[in-house]
Amino acid sequence: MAADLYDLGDKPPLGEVPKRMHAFAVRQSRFGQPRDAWKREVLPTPAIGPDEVLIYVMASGINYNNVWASLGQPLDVIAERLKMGEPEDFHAGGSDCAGIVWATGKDVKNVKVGDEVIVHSGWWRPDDPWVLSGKDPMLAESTRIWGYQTNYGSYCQFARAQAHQCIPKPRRLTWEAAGCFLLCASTAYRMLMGWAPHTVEKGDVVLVWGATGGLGSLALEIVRAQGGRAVAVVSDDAKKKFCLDHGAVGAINRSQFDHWGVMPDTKDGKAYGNWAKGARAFGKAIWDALGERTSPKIVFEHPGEATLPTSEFVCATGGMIVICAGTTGYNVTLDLRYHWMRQKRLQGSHLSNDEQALAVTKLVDAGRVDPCLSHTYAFDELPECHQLMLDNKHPYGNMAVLVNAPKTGLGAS
Amino acid sequence: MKALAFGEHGGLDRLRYQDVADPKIGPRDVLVRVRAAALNHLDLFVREGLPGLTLPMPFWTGCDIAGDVAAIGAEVRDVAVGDRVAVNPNLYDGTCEFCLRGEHSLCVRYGILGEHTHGGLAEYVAVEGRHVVTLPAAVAYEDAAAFVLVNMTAWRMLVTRARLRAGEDLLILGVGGGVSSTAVQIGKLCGARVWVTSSSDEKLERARALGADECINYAKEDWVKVVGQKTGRRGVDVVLENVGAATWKGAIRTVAKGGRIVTCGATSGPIAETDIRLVFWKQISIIGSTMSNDAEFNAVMGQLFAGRLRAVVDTVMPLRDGVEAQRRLAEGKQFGKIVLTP
Repeated sequence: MAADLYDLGDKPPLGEVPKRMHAFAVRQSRFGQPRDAWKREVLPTPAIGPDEVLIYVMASGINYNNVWASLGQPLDVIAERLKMGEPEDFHAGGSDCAGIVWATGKDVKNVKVGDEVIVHSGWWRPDDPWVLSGKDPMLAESTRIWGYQTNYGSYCQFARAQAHQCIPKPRRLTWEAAGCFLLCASTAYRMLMGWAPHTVEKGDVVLVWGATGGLGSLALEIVRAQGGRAVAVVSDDAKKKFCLDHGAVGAINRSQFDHWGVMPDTKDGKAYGNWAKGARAFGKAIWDALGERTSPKIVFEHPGEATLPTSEFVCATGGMIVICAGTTGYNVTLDLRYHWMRQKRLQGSHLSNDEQALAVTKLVDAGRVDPCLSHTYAFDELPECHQLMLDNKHPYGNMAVLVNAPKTGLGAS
Repeated sequence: MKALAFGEHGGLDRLRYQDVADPKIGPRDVLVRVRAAALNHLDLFVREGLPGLTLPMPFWTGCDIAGDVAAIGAEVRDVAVGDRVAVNPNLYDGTCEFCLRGEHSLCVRYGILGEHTHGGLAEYVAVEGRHVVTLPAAVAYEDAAAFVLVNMTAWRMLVTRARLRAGEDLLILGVGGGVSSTAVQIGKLCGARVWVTSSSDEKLERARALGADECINYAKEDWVKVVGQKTGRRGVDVVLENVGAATWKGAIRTVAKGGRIVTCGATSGPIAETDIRLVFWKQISIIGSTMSNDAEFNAVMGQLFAGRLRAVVDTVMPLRDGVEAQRRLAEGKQFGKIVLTP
């Protein structure tokens, strides 16, 4: 008979689910700085639906969405779910994990109890007509980010996920390496490979902003794996080596330029001239980093407001700027003339579907894409990890925390 | 020969119906006796002067041309003197990386006949032999001339760039323009439900006659709201946008998840304020497009010849009255093309 609650790392018999579990959670009364908002609690272990699984989490990744969750902005995810009729008044988040399937719903066929898996964070209602019709589920009305917009994510001893989210864990990886990368990797993969005809092909030049972050570092790795040539953009020279180590063919320090932000009015000749001068100089820096005068076919964007006008300018004729976030702001000025005269494309992209998450995991499994694990922390350091992220002091790549794994280095075979 | 020419850039007063030197043809060119030439806003822009565009004066524009072949160069095959033809206005080098892919309107030296070289607002025009297409007997010169530029542009935008499919919703903003009005019939040909906006009930009626399903007078109703309500808040799959600054925010709001906005110009200004959250949450695609390649030109001309698309002609006037014709275009009084006949 299972106990009511197990310590972390103290495994119940396979398949037996205790009534309660350890987890990190945010409550509305604690919204604020991540180090105060995230608190370790003992929560009831969630029940699962017919298409869901319960996962005994070994290690979890850390993502920026759960910084937002702790701030309660730009979205109060708890209020959103209460409004939808869910009973929990807390958010037990976490959107990346590696672990062991511990229980399965009656309709689950793709995994069984005991399987070692990682979980991608695309969640949608199984009865969503868009999904049922076979279209890309990431465009469905019901789609949510698992562990951000849904509860009982990877910061729980037992996470609740939909079975389709489970992907076999790459065997060669430790729990922490396997658990740290998939949200960023699948997002980057969809951006780089999901928007035909603008996919990375051999020799293609790709400009990658924020290249030492979780998303940027995986983008460098994926571009290299596809035979492309990534030019990394970073904010100080010390970051360049990391980028070259992770597949970039060159790196640019953007602090050497000062034309960032909203593009000036074209009628203001002087201001616009200065902006254009900066943008042209940045374009030349790309050519210098490459060693040839080729402009990027794909610009991998996530800063948004500060950089998008420049991205639009330096993107090759007929190329694509692909964007998944606006970390410097959302108000972007586009000069449509570049867009139609040079027949460019601005493409929004958001997370990934099952197929894309599986495709990038296969690249990791084959050793062609490094998961870019930066540092592994203890479970109780989880609030501090989010604080580092908010303060932009986190180490390059992707952070992991151990959940049930007793120490680092386990799980690889 | 006579041409509607200007000796320096400027207003309508610079334009004169005057004698100019006859064009000369090279070994790969044909001389076309112009029977009809349609006007575009491009004619006005070039007459007024465009930054970076230096032209041999006197200059005359005209990129929508139909006529008879009057002479052929020594190396020209498949075209004979006396052939009735329409002219493909693409100018490209044929050797750059984009031309090698068949993407002629991306050519690094791309130009348009009548913008970068002497055009068809004259009695004769010299064009490359490979850039004329024979007209079936049933197709009038006036219709052929009126058809070319706006249709090659709209065809590439909707069929190639936005990949419009049967059953989708297409929204065309500002349906009075040449590209926008013909896009209505291309949208219907693709099997789409076509939505149009205009501030003029008369233009909306013309659009309805071309097949538009949903007509919204934006002077009377909030078009963003109407589209939202009538699509159950879903929005439309494709927006054809060439208004720019004035309608851009609405276009971003109106397009459905995974939808496409295709743009070929911006009559109200090119600086577009964009809430980037909507771009990535809805995963929309904002696609630039200009003119077409030769394959798209041939495809859309084929639709005219088969009677599946038709030219939208506003008025036909003699070339000698070209000043009046350009005034009519500048004042935006037309629906469809103004055609001049030498």
